[in-house]
Amino acid sequence: MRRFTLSTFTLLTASIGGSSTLLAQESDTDQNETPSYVTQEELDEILAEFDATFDDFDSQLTTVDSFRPGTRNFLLTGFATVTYGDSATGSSAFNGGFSPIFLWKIRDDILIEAELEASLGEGDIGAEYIQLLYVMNDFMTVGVGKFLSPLGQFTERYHPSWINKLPTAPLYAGHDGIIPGALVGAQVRGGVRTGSSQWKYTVFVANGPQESGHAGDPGDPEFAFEADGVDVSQNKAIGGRIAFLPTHWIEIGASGYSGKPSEPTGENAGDLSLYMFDLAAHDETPIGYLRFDVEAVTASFDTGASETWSGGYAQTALRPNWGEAGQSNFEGVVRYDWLSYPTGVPSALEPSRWTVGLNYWLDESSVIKLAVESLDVDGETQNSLILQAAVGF
Amino acid sequence: MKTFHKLLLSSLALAFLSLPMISLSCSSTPAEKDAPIAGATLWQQQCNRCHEYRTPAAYDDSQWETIMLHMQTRANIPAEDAEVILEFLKSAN
Repeated sequence: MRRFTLSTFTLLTASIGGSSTLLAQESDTDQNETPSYVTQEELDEILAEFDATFDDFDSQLTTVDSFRPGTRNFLLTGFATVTYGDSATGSSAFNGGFSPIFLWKIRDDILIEAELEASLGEGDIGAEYIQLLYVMNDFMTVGVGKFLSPLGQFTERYHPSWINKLPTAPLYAGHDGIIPGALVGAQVRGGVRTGSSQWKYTVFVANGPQESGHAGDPGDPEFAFEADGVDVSQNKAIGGRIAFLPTHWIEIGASGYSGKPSEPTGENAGDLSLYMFDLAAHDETPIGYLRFDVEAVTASFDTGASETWSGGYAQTALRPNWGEAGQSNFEGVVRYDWLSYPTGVPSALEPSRWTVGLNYWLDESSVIKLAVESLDVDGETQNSLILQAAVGF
Repeated sequence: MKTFHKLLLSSLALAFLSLPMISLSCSSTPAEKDAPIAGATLWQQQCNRCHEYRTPAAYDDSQWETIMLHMQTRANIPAEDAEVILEFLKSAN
């Protein structure tokens, strides 16, 4: 648009100049009979000169812009959720959440990212992550701060409600799960393409976990992984994830975490280790966009006698494609997830759940989800209906 | 242990339904495997891996630059792919 305006201005100027020249020419012709006019070649040269000048001006303007503070590259994004759940046991409730994400690209190689989480149900506001990222080179980015756990794929990539295909998180994940939702420390990560295949890696060192109590069950310890910037025992946890994509539609990953949980007094409470396996196959097929995900985790807490938790999920989702009519707004989802506690825990329940969902996409980031879940806890089945609206913005 | 078997069976059942369909739709010749991938294709492949992809018109150039840096890091997208996707988004918005 600017080029058009400038070129128009140039032509206008040239036209006026040309008119003046013609007038002057007539006047001059009257006075001394010497012809004075601009040839087409000369006009082209003048216009080219104008264009070159304005090109240079545009280039200098771009350079100046690149040195401005990062206000131009600040972005507010995020997602919001409203949920209604109705259980066959008689309980029903509305809930909602608002998660603004602040992105600030200070330079081409520095990004600050933060996600806040305000939940209506819990009535509090927390920082899901706050991280400073520095791109060292094409294959390595360093992040420092509080970051989403890179173990597996669900926590880091699928947890936002407009991305998660179902209204709930798998039993082992989320805020009440057995894996860390976020870690405080430093991470190094990157991705490499080798032809049609790709490798992805993340390694981290983070504040050690703390044993935060025994929620009503002396044999079922709980751990605080995020530790609020405090590492009482000074035993840092380490871990990471490596993933291989033999082709674009399949990703196979393995993750590990090792830490020494401390008691509130600072004394070591044992050794905690966690291993995960994940597989994702997503692609467009003749019948629509098909997604298949599976993830499994096992966590061991060794205090002399080892206690082991395990959990996982398998999920498939299909958004049909009606040929010429295009992609359907509807999407069907089926998931099975489960969680298993150590056998020594008196309340050693083994909850498992089937969830069937039907989503309706209003646009690419707004979805209404209807799901029916059947939760089996120690032989007792609880059925629930969940309706959720999620918007990514 | 019983639930582990359930997970295994459900995974196999869901995989049985999903994977053959995906693999059938993705056959490519050796020549295609080594060819550079177009920005529009990479945009669909990389973004759709986790979520429905946003249309290029959803953001302006400057916003896409910020978002691509965020997503490159979050999803460990190779830098060369991120660069090609960004160029596509900026040219198509």
